[in-house]
Amino acid sequence: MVRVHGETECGSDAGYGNHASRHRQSQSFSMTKRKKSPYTVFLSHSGRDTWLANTIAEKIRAAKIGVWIDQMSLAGGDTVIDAIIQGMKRADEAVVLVSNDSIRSQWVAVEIGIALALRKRIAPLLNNIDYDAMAPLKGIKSYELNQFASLLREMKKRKQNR
Amino acid sequence: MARRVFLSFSSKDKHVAHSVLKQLREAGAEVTGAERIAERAEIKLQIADAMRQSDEVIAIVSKNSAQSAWQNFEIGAALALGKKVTPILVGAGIKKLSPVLRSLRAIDLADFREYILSQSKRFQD
Repeated sequence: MVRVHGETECGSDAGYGNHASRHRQSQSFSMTKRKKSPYTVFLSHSGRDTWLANTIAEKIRAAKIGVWIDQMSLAGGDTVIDAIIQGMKRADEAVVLVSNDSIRSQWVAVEIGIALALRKRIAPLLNNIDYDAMAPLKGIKSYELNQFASLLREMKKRKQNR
Repeated sequence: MARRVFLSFSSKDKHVAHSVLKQLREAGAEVTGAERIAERAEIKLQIADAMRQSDEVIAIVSKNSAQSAWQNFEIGAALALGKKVTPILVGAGIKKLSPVLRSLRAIDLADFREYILSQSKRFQD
């Protein structure tokens, strides 16, 4: 099963409820013609790291950045892979939670392939594991879990500069 | 123009890969990804570029595939780029295929020669 989170939790939706802000929004619509989609991060992880992945997702959302995170339990099918590809296409960047479990996950390796084929920026986030443990991520700047705050700061900058 | 085929396989299946590569070339296909047989050139951007330039992907799938991060990476890249992916099964039943591959029409290695003959026009055009 795939769930999409975060798309309505971003900064651009803040204050949407009152009339004045709706008015301001309609003005900005007419000026820019098209509303930018919220800045979104695709979070790739093994099912065994779900708790940690959800915790990371919460912290990213708290920074008003959207998160695409799949909660599938390796039940396959066309719909799952299509949903992942669409999720990655819409994402601005990808974070791969690298752990002793995710280096054995077929899905995580598939998602890294999807991200690179779609030329997305990838940030490996290492959970107590060597930077080169996941072969296709070798050579990409990685972050220790303890450095997550620094990764989040960089994400916020990229969001502002988009 | 010859059909450009990207051959994806786990390094543990390189002997099978040699045989499949030979048959594809005999059928007139131009095969990429094959340099990995000799050099294991695992440079991801090169893989992604070769994949982008190929017309389709043939993936040799065995019990070794599930553990091959590179092969799963290649399959993800192929699907993201909208390439046709054909799994060739080597001693692995359909139930052992990864969920990603299970939805694709697979060919048993024993039937591969016959399959290529039936598709010869596709590989030569």
